[in-house]
Formats: sequence, structure tokens, C-alpha cells
Amino acid sequence: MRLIVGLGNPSRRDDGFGPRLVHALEEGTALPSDVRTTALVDPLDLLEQWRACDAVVIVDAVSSGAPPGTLHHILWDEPGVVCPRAVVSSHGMGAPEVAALARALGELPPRLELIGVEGADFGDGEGLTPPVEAALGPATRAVRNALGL
Amino acid sequence: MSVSEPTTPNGAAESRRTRILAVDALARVEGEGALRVVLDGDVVTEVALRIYEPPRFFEGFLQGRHAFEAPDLTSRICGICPIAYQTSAVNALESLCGATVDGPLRDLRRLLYCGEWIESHALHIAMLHAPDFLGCHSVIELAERDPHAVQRSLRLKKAGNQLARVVGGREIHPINLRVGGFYRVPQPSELHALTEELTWARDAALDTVRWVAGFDFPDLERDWELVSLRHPGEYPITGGRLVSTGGLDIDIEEFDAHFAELQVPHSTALHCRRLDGRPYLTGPLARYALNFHELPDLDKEAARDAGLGPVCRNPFKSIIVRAVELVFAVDEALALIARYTPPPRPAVEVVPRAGAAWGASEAPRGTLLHRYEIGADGLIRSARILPPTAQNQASLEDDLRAVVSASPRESVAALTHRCEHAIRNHDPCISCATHFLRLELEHRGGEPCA
Repeated sequence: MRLIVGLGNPSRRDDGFGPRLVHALEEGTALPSDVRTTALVDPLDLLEQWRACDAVVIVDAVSSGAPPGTLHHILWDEPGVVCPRAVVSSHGMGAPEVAALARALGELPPRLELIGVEGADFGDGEGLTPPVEAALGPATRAVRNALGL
Repeated sequence: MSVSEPTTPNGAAESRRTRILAVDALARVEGEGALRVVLDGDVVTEVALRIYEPPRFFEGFLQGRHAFEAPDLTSRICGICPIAYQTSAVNALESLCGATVDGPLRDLRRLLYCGEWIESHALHIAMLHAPDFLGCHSVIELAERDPHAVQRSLRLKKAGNQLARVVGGREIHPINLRVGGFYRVPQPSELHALTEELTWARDAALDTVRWVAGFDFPDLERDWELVSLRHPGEYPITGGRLVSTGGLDIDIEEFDAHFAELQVPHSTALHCRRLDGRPYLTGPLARYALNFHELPDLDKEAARDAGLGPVCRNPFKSIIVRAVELVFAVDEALALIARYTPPPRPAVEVVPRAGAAWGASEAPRGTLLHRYEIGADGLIRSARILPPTAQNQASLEDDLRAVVSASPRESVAALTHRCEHAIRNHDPCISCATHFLRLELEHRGGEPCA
């Protein structure tokens, strides 16, 4: 089983990037039967969602200081990778922290990738800022490439 | 964590008299807050828990909304305790409208609320609080050292989530609670499907009590006035009278005759004190001390085996009390499921009428009060919401003063950790937005600390 997760809160502007991308994927061309999609607000739910998955791609808004809309593509097992910290999470744990927790618990999927987009506005409200909106296409291609779709 | 030490003009740090210590990006409290402690020699001269999170204006924008929207609107205040907000709101509005929701409907609300206690307590015990006792910086480090304990807590939390989903419609921000009852009540088979996991959870909760009872606890006894709800024949969750260790025993409608909210410059959350100015504490320690007699034998025995008496005044041991309440919540959920018969209808009819009333319930971290005034048109004229963390702010500051005063010559690093730990003792939920705590410890005069 392969899993695509859109992580973030659609009510916090660019933090809604992941769910927005996943919903677009769900409405587009049918995905293979072994590919599941889900949108999550709480990163801790990843632990449950990716159980028994061989490959997982997380789509999340990140904040690393890069220009808004910049794509980050991180393979979790690359040595020396420093993950950009997800700044908008419900309860203090972003995807990198949950992945680290999963690794400690021996529950990390065999293959885990993060497609991150640099956000500009994590304030209250719906809708993406223009540079983040413009990243939807490239990010979708990156997700498909990551899973060979 | 970073430590900045003001230096003399020539750059030497030796003659420092003032020390400022800053901790940022601390992920184990909820919301945006900071803390400032000033030490003059060995004397703590200033303690301020600064909550600078922007006000969220819930009480303002509720005005003009239909009263029956309040449960769903206010549940959005918190992703950890939305059921508490819904319950306090429906309690206030049903009281105001003269409606009685009892029998199986009341039991079902209590069952839903047990789910929230299980989720919240399991999360706080292992993910937020236990790392403090075990010298871990985070739950990730704890998971490396004791994966079983973390896995157990995550599964417990999930059991609570499942309960919230089945009774409340979804795990976070449930949608099934309404003024008068529920939109839909579950079939017995839906609840019985949870029994197996909850039976595991009861044993897991008992293991959790034994686990946390083995931690090392600083010696500190606090003389707070403890305040909680109390209801005859049950450990308080969904309502009751307001009682205290100072002899208070009132209907919540009398709240303003005994308590006063006040604004302080360093916090965007209103403080709340007794009318004579004394601070007080709500939360698990208060519930436990004031309602120990209502706990089933299973919980009393677990508490006794963990070394607790019927009252616990050591703030650091709140983690044991929270674990005992975790046992209680799971056991209570099992009992409520076992005797569940679906109510004849999901809700009783409630007709809005002009008036004002209070409602209260016991959120995982303490008593949550709501007060609404509504007009004959059913619209809200005014709303007041008193979250437990707001009420506890002054006692939290007193705890910090006590912690630093007990060992003022400890290193700033040790003191800082102790202060952070002291904050987490009370599981503060400053908000559910972002999560940064910055701690400043200023040391004036006296021996320089290592």
C-alpha cells in the first residue's frame, strides 16, 4: 500500500496546502488501487495512517526562510538531512517530529518522503497566497514522480 | 534552550549580577506564553506568567449569534477539550431555558466526556509531562528509551478518540452534541464494539499509574485553595455545585458573589481570584482532593498503591493523579457502556427564552465555566467563558515562586527546567494555535549561579 498525506489546517491559509493538493488529486485522474490519500490536521495521526504502508509521501507547508512557493523534497533516510520545521501544527508536533517519534518506536514506513512548500501566511483564513497557489502544479508532479504515478 | 549572559563592557562575563535565561520553541505547553522570574539575591521579587497570545474575541463575536450555536462555536476554542466547551455551553443554555437533560442522555454525555479525559490525560502524561521526570527533552527521546510506555499512551489516546468519534460524530471537534441532547444517539452495538479496546485500556491505565508512581518527585507542598465541581454519587465531570477546600459550597449561579475576574497587564487572559484576592487552583488535584470519596475502589486502590493519600498537594505528583483519573475515565466509560439503553429520543425539546445562566463542567485541566445572557429572540446578548488555565494563572505564578524560592542558588539551567516543569504540572492550555514558551530568569545580586 502507498499513501499520500496532505497535512495541514485549511483554516490557516497556506497551511492548507497539503489538504488542497490531496483533494485535487482525488478529483483528478483515478489513482492506482494501491494508492490511498488522506488529509490530516494532526500530524500524530500519521502514526496510525501509515501503518502497513510501504511508501508514504507527505505534502505539507513548511517554513524555512526560503522564498514563498519554494518546493522542498526530502527523503527521510538521506543521511544528514535537516528537515525544515513545520511551524503550524495543532499541538506542537510537526511531521518531522512525528517521523522521529516513529523511528524511535520502530514504526517508520520503509520509504518516507516530504514534499514541502514554503508558506507565506499561516494566519487565520482560507485560501492560499499566490506563490503557494502557483506551487500546486509542480508539487503535484513531484508527488506523482515520488510514487512513480 | 539558550542562555544569554550580559557581559561587562570589556566582554567579560565574570562580574555579572543580572542573568537572563531564555527558552524558546518549547513544544510541551499549549499556546503562546512567557515567563519572567526576578531573583534579588536569594529572594524572588517578581514572577509573571505572561500570556501574550492575541485575544480571540469569542465572547465578543458570540453576541448576536443564536444561543444554540454556542456549543459548536465555543468548541472551536480548543482541539484538546472541545467536549468540555460544548458541555459547559449546553449546561448553561439548558439551565437558562429550564430544560432538564437526564437519564440515558446525561449518561451519554458523560460517556462522551470520558473519551475527552482519556485522550487528554494520555497525551499529557506521556507526551508532555513524563519527559520532565525522566531527563528527556522530548517524547522522541522518551520513545527511544521506553518505546513501550509511549506506544501504550498513544493507544490509550486512540481509545479515547474512538469513544469521541462513536458518541460525538468525530474525534476532534465532535458535532453530535446539541442543546437538549444529541442529534443522533448510538446503537448499543456501536458502543459494545468499543468494550474490548477499553478493557485493554483499563489495564493500560493501571500500568500507567504504576509507571508514573515510580518517578522521582521534588518535595514541595502547596497550600492552594482547591476548587472543583461536586455532584452527589459521582466523580464530577458534567456538572455539579462548586466546592473548595476552603469550605466553599455554592450553586454556580452564585459564582460572581465569590470570585472576580481581573485583567493584569502581562496577560491577555483574564485572571480569576476569590473576591478577597486569593488565588485558587482547579484541575485534577482539586477534583481528586474534593471528590476522593466518590472514586470507585479500583481507583482508590490504584491511588493508594501509588503512594497517594486522599489529598495530594505536591504539584509534581499531579501526573499520578492524572493517571488515576485516566483509570477512572476508562472504567467509567466501560460501566456506562454496560448499562446503556438508547434514550427514547435523541434530544428533549428546548425553547429559548430570555434570561441568563451559568453552566460548568470539568475539563481535563479544570473547571470550565460559561455564562450566557440571551434575549427573547434567542440571540446572545453577552457571553463569558472562564477556562481553567485562566483561573489557574495566579496559582501557577505562586508555584513558580515556591519552586525558585526553595532552591534559589541552583544553577539557572536547573532552575529553568524546574520552572518549565512546574508549568507543565498543571497542563496549561493557553490556546490551540502555536506553541512557544519563552522563559526569562533574571538574577540580581547574590552569588552568581553556575
